[in-house]
Amino acid sequence: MKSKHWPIYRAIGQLLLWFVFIASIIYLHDPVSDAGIGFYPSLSIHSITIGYITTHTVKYALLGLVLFILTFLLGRFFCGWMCPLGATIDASDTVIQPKGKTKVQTNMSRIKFLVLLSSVLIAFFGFTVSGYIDPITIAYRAYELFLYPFVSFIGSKPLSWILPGYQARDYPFYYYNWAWVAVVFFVVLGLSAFFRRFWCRVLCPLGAMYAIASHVSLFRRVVNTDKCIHCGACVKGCRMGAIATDGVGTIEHECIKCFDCLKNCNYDAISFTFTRPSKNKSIEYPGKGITRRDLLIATGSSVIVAASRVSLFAASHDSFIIRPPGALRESQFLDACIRCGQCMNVCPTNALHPCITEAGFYGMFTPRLISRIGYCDFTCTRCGQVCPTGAIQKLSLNSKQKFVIGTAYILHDICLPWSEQTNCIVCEEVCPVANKAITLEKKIVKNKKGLQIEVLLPVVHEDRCIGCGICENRCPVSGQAAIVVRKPKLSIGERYG
Amino acid sequence: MKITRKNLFLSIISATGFLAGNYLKGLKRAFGLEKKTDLVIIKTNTVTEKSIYAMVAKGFEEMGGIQQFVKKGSKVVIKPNIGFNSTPERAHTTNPILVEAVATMCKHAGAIVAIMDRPVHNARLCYRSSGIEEVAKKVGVDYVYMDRDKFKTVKVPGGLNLDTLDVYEDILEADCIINMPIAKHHSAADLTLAMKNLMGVIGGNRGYYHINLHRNIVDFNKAVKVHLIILDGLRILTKHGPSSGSPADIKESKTIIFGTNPVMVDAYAAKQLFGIEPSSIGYLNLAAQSGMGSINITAYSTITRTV
Repeated sequence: MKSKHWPIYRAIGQLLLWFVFIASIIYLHDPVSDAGIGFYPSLSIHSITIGYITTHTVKYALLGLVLFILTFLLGRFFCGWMCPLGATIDASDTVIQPKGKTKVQTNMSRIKFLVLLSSVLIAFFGFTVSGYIDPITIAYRAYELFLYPFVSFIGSKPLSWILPGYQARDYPFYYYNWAWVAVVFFVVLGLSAFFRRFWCRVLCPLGAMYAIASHVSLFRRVVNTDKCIHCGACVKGCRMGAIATDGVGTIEHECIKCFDCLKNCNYDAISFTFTRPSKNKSIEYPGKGITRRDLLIATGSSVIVAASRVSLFAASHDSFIIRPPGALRESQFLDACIRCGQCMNVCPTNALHPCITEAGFYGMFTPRLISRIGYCDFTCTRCGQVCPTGAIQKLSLNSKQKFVIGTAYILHDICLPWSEQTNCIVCEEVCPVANKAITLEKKIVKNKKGLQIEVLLPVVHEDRCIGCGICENRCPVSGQAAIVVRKPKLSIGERYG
Repeated sequence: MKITRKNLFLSIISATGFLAGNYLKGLKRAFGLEKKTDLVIIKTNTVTEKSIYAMVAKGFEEMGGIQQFVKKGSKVVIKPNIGFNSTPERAHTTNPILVEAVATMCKHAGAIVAIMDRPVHNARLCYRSSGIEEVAKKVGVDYVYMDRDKFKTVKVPGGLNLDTLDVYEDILEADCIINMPIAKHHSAADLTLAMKNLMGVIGGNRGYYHINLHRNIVDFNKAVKVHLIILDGLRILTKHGPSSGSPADIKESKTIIFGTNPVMVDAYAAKQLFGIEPSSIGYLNLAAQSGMGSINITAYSTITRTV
């Protein structure tokens, strides 16, 4: 392969796959779409591995495995062609790294292998950290929870012309704590200010896994030494710093097959072909430069994180937040959730939102149900269908309608019938439970003028309430609703000590 | 068209004819010469797709023909009750086949038909699960998701509780509004029928309208004048309405009521379908007091037909 057009083909391919990614988000956001196809987070072999080590529950591992096996053949093509975060980083270069500064053979690139090592070690202690450092989940969260709502906020009119049924959605939708999602996203993009693809070269644990496989891959860069004059044009143009300073040697595990060097070479010296790794040796092995000190720091810090599991749990147990229906028990849920945020994207009522500190340190970016913003639809089981790890179990409609996520409690001080003696009944009207978990009691009461009047007072039946939160959502009282969904007050919590 | 003596003459003739015709119609109406029926009640023994179509056809015939309401090229808005994300079996939403039959007839009469509602639940889900989306696609008419920005503020003439209301633009611009409520129990309003169904064309915070609900329902009907009401009483929810209830709460009453006055339709349906005295329902009393229609159902002139 020698054509100088390959960089353009790659850019087009990357753009198309980025569109697939965007389309999957927009498609899944449509409340009538099939939520069973939310496969994107499981493209990440890193998430799959971590998830498998911690909880043995990964639903769609196949795609990620196929991509990983393909890496042994084609090299680290995923990073240059498929990764949505990589595409975003490349696109943001025009703003963040306009000069296209790159760094040849940096010693820092060993750090990503240490990150990978730590995340795997921590996984053996039961912690799932892939949600915080996996590029797919970072990109997914950023696009779902920050960028798409933002675009829909500023461009709801144009979107309603393009997307079917867009007006019917609850727009402009937004996610609580979206700013923190955006902060993580912009920090990752902003790292490119040091040099191009800083995140991919230095920190990305998924990149590290692909790098290891890529070291022995068959599809390689070959330089014709008769033609090469060692001008260094390819070295300066390589976004991954994967070319040695002489322009001949390749760091195979860093090459993401962007083919920029084909275009940059004026002497036709470079080509990409299938060769045996032994014939065309990489000048560096993955993780070169890792010292004993690095390893000690990585293992030591992961042991410290793992050992803190007990104390962290003491701080985050029995949280007050409401999890989506079908969620595992809190401690299991935190281990199983990879924080991809798809449940929040598919929720038709904008009810699920990312946590920051509400669920403890470990619960960052896990879903919580905020009834005042959106309620849990009685006939919807989408979050369970889309969850790639089973942290939210797939429920049948029948079992979902019996799944208790909380209980409604009336705040008598601000409830209109209770405090103002005016009839209201909205909570009773919207209650979807077959025999109504909220009923109205007719009572003769004295109003503020001292007159005896008849009022319908809402009363919650805790044995029937499933905590869907539509009563809190629709409560006409301004600000704080007069009926709130909390954990059932007598449920068995996870409170230690 | 070129202005010639002949053309000018012809257009003057036709304009005069048109005006005279309208004038005669007005005279007829003023002297009560036109045959006037308050309500048309259509019953059936078995509810099938075919019988529903026949019922609708019969109803329009007894109301004096569909041309009375739907002119060629006019904009017709059908307003069913699809307020909740429930399937038709649960009797929370207007029977989709009934809507289909009405939409088909309007379309054949040459009208531009749109079906719309402002549901309580997510609109996309409600249109899908109620079967309305499917029906609209089948008949080939528009189904409109109401756009938040397209509500217009109108004055409520003689409003009991409200001075102004936000009404959907398409409703205000429509030549004919066909209100197609389903009859069901409602915890706050006692029953939700034609008058209550108009909440689905009003913008703003629904929750607030439930404070002083009965007065507000009357005001909705003062702000929005409906041209025809086709009340779905095929299967009615008698308990735990409007959004829950079990199959035991559903009564097969197999009736459709046609009418033009919402107060009369509601009063009749309350008594005949649910056995509830119209005078015991707050909004019907208030409506009768403000002269929107009588709730003395014995004084109505009705036609009852069985298909």
